[in-house]
Amino acid sequence: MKQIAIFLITVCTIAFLSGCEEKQTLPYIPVEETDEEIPHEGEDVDPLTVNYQLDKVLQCDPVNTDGTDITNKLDFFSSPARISVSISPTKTLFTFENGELIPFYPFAEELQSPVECELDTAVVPNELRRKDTGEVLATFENDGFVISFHLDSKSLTYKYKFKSIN
Amino acid sequence: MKTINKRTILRTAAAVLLMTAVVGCLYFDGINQPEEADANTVIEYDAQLRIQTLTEGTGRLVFAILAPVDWDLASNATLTLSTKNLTAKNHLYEKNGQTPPFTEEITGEVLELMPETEKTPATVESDKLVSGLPEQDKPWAEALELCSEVGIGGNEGLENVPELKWVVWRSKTIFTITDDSDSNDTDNPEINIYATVHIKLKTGMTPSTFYMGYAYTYDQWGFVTKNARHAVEFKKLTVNPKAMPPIIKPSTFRYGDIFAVQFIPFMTGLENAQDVYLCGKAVYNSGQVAEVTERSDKNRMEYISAQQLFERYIYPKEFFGLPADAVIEELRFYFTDATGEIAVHNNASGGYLLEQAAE
Repeated sequence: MKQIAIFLITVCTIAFLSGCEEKQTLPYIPVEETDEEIPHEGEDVDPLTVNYQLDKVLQCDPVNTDGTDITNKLDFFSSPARISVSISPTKTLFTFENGELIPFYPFAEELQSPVECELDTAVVPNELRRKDTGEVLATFENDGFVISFHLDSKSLTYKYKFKSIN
Repeated sequence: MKTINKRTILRTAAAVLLMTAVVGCLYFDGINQPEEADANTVIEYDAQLRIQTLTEGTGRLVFAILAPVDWDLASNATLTLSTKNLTAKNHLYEKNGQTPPFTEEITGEVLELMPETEKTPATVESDKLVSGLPEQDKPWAEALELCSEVGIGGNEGLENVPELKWVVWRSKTIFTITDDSDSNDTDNPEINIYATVHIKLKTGMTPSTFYMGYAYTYDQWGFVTKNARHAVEFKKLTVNPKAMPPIIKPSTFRYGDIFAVQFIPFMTGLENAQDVYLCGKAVYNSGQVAEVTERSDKNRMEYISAQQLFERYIYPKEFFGLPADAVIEELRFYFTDATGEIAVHNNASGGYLLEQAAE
């Protein structure tokens, strides 16, 4: 009797141990659910792109730091400048398009759009910087991007204020 | 503004000549007053006085100017007196054991306003006793108008002449005039004393054409008709409207910036213009010139009713059609009406010069 009991325990133990290692055969082929936010290896997801159009041009000087709205004072601002910012999990791209009639350019050199950028949220207002040179291309203030630049006098600052047109 | 006709000029010239002729021993050798001046502008010039010492007497020099009331010359004029030859006869005093009244010439003595309480002498003793004339024993400014040899000169009968009045000054120095005519001074036969009254005054705001009046005498004599003890002269003056120079906003700018050119039409030929156009000239790239002279929407100025001025924002390179890399060296602007026939500028070539900030 004692031998029979020992045999049964041994068989059960072997069966239990061998069962743990055996792959379970499923009745269907499993399909892994994909997360759209997570790109496949080697590829980017569709970026989120926001388009902006020039809304106001301000001229600021040491006496008038809030600036004077000169948007409607010059005809060439009727062809508005535009920017777009494309954000994906892996990179941020900045595109600038000057107004056709605007006779000057707000950056020191013409941008080869799109330009890869980083949004520096550690400063206020947030700064959109070129990834390669660190140059600040725009700041994000309130609800839109602002490009600040000088034309000739260092004491005069011009501000392009953009608003979203998406 | 009325054009003075030839007849009026001849009549005035004859009157002035007559007045000069009847004056005995006091003369104007010249007054280099400009014939034209801008409104609201300071002008300076000299009146050259020559005094023949044929008559003895003692008194202060009295000098008067006829000008528009609104010029307020009592507040806006400064007259200074300098003399020459005042000490020329001192050796004669010394020869006679006398102390000469002046040991040195007077230089830059500021004349003081004649007190309003002061009146002209009631009587004057010259060749004969003169008294009872309207101009005697009167406040000095009033006496000048009452004296038939002075009055308001050629302004009488002219149209659009502003209201005029005489303003009177006097010297602090009391002069002693000695008759040197028979002194037989062979060393120095000169018997004239010369004086220069330097006049600095500010013109009024209103454009006009009229005759400024100048007169002088001694306070012991007054301006008395036929007394030959004063000198008087009138000189025509045209006061031109003066435009305020353009205002640039912001005040600190460079030629490569955007800025507003503002023009105040008040007291200019464009005061009643409905449309005003900004015209001008740019000098760039070592002397090349670009101009805007036509009138179009591109250079039509916006009227800012609250400030009563015209304004135009420009980016000069675009306004003058210059290349993007042009370096502007000079900018001048002027203002015209829709016809282009009325232009306001500062008489300088090409208009008002805009000066840019250093950086």
